[in-house]
Amino acid sequence: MRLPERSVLVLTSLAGGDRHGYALIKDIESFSGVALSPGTLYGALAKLEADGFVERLPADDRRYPYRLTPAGRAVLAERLVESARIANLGLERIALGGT
Amino acid sequence: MRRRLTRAILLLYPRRVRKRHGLEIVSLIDDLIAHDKRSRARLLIRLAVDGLVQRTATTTTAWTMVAVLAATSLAGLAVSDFAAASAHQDATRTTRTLAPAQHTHQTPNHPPRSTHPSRRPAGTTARRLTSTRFSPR
Repeated sequence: MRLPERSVLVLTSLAGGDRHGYALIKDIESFSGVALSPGTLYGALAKLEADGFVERLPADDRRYPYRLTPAGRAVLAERLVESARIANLGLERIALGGT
Repeated sequence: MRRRLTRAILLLYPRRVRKRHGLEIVSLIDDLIAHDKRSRARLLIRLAVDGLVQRTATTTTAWTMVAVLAATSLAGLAVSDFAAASAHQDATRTTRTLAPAQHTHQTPNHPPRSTHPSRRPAGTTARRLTSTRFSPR
């Protein structure tokens, strides 16, 4: 399954712990420099929740925290391993190319 | 008033997102304005753009399905039309073959019925073919 980049960012953030919308936006901004808009964030969360990769926890003062499910953890791991493989290959080729 | 505007913009979103996350989006926009001092106008414009993008994506999927259904229906109609045309052609061919046997009138320009091969009654032809095919003597 091919995850969009924004979904990878959301899953990566949730891999660090349960978070609600605002905390997700701040965390993603801090580790990737990408400022997700509220619409984009909740569009991604809706899709991830429908796919069973995240689950919504009970509300905490109008805010719903989200949690990564085991399926979400597995799909994120698969995607990150693939990204790492491509990144390593690229780095090797850059090193071999010299200058 | 401002929240009402936000909720109005949320109408641009697919129902699934709006019903499930509408209130959270409104709260998040309030948080971003309160804590990050972000511009409400900018947030609302971005919210509207994202909503349109998501709505278009959903609509595109729906239109793709409609197009596939329409194409399948047209293909079905074409096949049935072709089948009907073939059946009609076969029927016409059969009628042409049988027609001389049914018409007994003769015009002066035609040779006598018994000598013109196409004017022979079907039974005669059938008997002759049968005798030729199965009784080679």
